[in-house]
Amino acid sequence: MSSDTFIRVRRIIASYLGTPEEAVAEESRLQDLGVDSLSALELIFLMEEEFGVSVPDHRVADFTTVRDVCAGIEALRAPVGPR
Amino acid sequence: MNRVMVTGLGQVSALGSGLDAFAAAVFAGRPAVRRLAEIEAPGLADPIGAAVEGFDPGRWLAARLLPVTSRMALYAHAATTQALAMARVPREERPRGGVFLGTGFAAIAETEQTYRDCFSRPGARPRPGTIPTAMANGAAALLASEHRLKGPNLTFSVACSSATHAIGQAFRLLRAGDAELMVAGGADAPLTPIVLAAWAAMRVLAPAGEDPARACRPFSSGRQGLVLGEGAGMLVLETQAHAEARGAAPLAEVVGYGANADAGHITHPEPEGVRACLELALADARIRPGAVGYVNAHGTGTLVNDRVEAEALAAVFGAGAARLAVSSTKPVHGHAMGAAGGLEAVATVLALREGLLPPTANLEAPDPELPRLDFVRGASRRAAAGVALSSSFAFGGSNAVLAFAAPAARQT
Repeated sequence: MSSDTFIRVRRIIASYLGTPEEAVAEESRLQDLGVDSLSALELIFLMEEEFGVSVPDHRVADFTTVRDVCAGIEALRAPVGPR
Repeated sequence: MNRVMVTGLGQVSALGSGLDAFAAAVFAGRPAVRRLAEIEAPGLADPIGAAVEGFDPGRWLAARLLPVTSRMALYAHAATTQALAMARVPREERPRGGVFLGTGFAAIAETEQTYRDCFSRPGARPRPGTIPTAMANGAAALLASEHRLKGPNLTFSVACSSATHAIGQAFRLLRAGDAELMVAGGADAPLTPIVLAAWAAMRVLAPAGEDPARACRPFSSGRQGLVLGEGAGMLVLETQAHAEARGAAPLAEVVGYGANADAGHITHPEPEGVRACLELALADARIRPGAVGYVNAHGTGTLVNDRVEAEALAAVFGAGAARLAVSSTKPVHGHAMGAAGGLEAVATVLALREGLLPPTANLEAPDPELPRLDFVRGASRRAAAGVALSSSFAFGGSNAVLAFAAPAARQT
């Protein structure tokens, strides 16, 4: 997982929740940070805007930790098909 | 039938948060109206308004809820927090309480921003929180959630009479024994580019002039219209039995509520409808006109409202009209639309409690074409009103009048 992705994801989550960035670690569970079902959708929206990706509905439930968010974003950004 | 007491008050407005700042400005007749230079309203060159200043949302609500909470919901929540604190309703009592909230424009600023983004930027989408933030009942939902109020939860959208109706309907519920505790009032945050421009298009906004603070002049010769405001005014109401059981001292009693419709023009009030509503409130309270010591008028400062309202008061109070103390507090806190009735109910209860009648700011010479009423002007006036009315006459012709009585003299 790239540190650039984590840095940007951390900034978005901390800013949205109004918590300090230090409180958002890779292993942090979103639920423990105070993210509920509605704010999870809002955060995913902000990630889509930030990274230019589109998260399919069936992947939304995969985002349990911050690490999951970063990994999911990078998977969506990775090029598909033969080079 | 139960007697219904006001046990708590709260407000947010251009005058600040809380009762001290509100009372100081209302009783001094000191308008908090300024140029809204930061707002670009199409077709309105020099917008003015009574804008809430220095409001810190983080003081009232957890940071994680702010992204899905509208400005007007924050105002309603701050005012409700104050009112419940003043009433000292214990936590275990709160689930009995319901919420009746009035609003004219709901989350209009947030809605405008969503439309602006989505219609102007290719690829723009509404955020997931858009519906819960913008739905008209969003603020009432927040009040229930934050204060654990599990009683009936309704939002009244009746333009300028929203809050007065919300309070009146809560009064009826309590009087009938269908509730013991209610939070009622109104909130609005209508100082947006399009709302300001749309009001301007009706040519009823007072021009800024040299001093915006002097723009709104209800009942005056040469009055030129209304000035928009914003904020929230909330009351805690409970049955007398519920209040006494927990040792809560009433601030005032709600004794009557009149509600009717003009069934006439959508923006022009009907003298007959306004008059009838005043009479309905008096009949509901079972009091004669002579028992009323003060009227907090709708008094927007428009040519039409002030004339129709003054004529209706003269018709209802007859020979006693010339001695009827009347004032409008709208020049001070602005016409806060769905919050107006809430702010004005707070002012009316304070007037009864303090034995002090607020003046109509900027009223130097009453319009000689209006019937003679005893307009309170200049300084506030020492008077034990006993019973006071608070009136709201809305676009669409839905009228609302509340009657309040001073708390019975306590034995010391």
